Amino acid sequence: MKKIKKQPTYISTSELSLLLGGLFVFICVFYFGKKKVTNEQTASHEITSVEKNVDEIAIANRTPARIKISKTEKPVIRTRQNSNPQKKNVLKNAEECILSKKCDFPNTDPRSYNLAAYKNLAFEITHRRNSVLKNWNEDFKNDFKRYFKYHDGFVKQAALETILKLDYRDSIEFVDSVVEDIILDHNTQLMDPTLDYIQNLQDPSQRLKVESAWLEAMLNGSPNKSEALAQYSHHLINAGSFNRFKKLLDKLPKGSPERTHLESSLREFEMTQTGG
Amino acid sequence: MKTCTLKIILIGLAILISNQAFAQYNNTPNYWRCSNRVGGTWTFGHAPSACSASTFIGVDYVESKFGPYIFDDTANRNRERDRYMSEMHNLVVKAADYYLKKRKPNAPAGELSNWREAVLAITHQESFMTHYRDGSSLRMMRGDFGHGHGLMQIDDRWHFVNIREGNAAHLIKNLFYALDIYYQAWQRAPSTRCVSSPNDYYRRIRAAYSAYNGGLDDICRFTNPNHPWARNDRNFKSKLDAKAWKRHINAVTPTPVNIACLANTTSQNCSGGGVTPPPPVNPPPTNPVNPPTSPVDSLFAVGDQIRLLKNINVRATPGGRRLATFRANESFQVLDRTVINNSSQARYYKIQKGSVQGYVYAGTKNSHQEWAVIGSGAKLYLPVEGSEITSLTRSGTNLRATPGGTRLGTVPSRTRLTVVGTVVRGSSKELYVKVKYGASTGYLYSGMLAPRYTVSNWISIR
Repeated sequence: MKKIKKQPTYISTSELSLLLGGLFVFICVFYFGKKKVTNEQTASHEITSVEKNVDEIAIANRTPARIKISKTEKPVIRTRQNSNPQKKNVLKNAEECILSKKCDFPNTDPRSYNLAAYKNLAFEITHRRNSVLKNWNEDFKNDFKRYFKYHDGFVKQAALETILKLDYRDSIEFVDSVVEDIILDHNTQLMDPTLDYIQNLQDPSQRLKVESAWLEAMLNGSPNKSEALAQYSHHLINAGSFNRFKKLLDKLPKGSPERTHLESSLREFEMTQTGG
Repeated sequence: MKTCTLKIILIGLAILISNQAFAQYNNTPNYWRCSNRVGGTWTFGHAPSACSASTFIGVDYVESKFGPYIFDDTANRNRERDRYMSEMHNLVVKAADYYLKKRKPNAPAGELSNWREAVLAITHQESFMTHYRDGSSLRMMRGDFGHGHGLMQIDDRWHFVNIREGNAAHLIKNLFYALDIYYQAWQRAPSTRCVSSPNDYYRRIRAAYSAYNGGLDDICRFTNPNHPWARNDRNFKSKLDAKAWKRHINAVTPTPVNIACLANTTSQNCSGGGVTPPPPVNPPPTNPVNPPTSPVDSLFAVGDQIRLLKNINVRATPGGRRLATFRANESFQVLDRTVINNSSQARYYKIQKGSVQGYVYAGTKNSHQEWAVIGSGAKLYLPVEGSEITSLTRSGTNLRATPGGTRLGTVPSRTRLTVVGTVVRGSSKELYVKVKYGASTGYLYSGMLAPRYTVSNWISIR
């Protein structure tokens, strides 16, 4: 009797396509399904006017002189018409999670929920960047100005990297945000994108505004931030600003890292100007 | 491949991808990069646990710069605690003062004294004022299953980038990094419902702690005894009220502290409470090619080639963030050198390989021969005698009779020259190369070596 050899069950091309398709669907269901839990949680109270006392809104670190918001002032997030409502809602919902504290984020330690919620918003901003840029309008502008106010570095980074991709005309509307919420903030991790933004500025008055904030933060900012700014100060030192930076040098603590870096940058600029 | 096997792999892959997408923070494992872990006791200077410090910071750098602030695990515990706390208390107070005076130069005396008490209470709450410990080797305190790093317990899940950069291992940077968060809350507190005015200091301290511990959204958490994390506020209050550190702070006269210098990873020596001028590691040479007259024992000159005798970590600054490890027996050119302790003559050399440029530790006056010897065949990033260079500055470079001296003329851009010698001078370590140009011999400024390396803006080496 002829022995029938059992054929191994290799996967066919069509089966492989089906499996890969299934994998894609699985990822989508798992991913968006889980996200939908978040959406559903907030859908029951669709954001029309989420109000929150400013005490509970994270605003970047500022000295009292710069804090203009009173105790009773309440930032408002409103529902808006726009060309991409679904994507808009995802961002709104991510933001609502920060305020409501009712989304599915860990509460394993005192900060875990907030940090996860902020990181989720940063993720959504990054993930939807192309769509946001394509549909950029006044509403997005206001949203992004608000994102800069959050004290979370990931959210600031996502917002900054988005506005870097805007047209110049739209991008320069964020000079105040970059000054108040990035340069004067203690976060030291955003120096490169901040410089990218500053170096695109063409209006001398805006460059001066940035430079003033830079000098102020080097003098009275967080010590770690002062050091970071000083390390990058050679990018801002030019014939017009040299004397202002030089004047600052004498006010910086002797032996401090910011003084060491600024001194070196000023010296190098002098050498460049005089031909060595 | 069999169908079921493929399915399992694909499903596994899908789960993996999904989990990646949902990672909301850095999933740093418990006791991440924690070697040689030891326990401890819940007492000042000795809180559990502690892991090797060398993972994040140079041991010799710590011993040179932060010697008085290392808890000696091998000494009599009670006596050592009193000594340590006298030093540490003084350091924390000085650092707290430095911080607030920088942020708010006109802060009233009442605010400064309350701020100081607040910072002391946080360091007690977070780590029992523990940071470095030394037993069989130098360790750094790691609490909360290893996630909390050092004095202020900087969490490696939330502050991963800063941890990785070594900022939490550096005692002063650790404190300043945390104070940025606390200060933000301190400034916010008077405008909240739970603090009546800027002078309501007791509640202001507590509110700022609630925010420090739970985020700015929870700044009034201390007023809610039913909050899930209310126990943290109660614990903090008890420490703030008891001020238990006061029992340990009069054992010795603390070492004078210069916070600016301690914070400065580029400065060389902070002993004696002032910025001690570094030893003249590169004095004006009689023979500018390679000054042999250094008062530091066997210190190689800038431009020399050295061969490493061990695998040595390369760090962004002397003792700072680890960038890579360079292997034994490879040769490198010395791009800069720094001595971080006058008495031990502990030294670092700045070297480069490919795109990695950083500092390697190279021993003390007694051990330097175990770390590096004269080398050869290294890739040259700085000119040496006989090097061919091209000046790069667009409008030409001044030729001077001496480094920084009388101008003899201008060497046009793209001029090829042969180097006769080199000189490094000044606090920014300015490099001058001695060249012959036409009938003149003089010096060309060729960039700085540190803290920013700018030589490649001025010359290229053939």
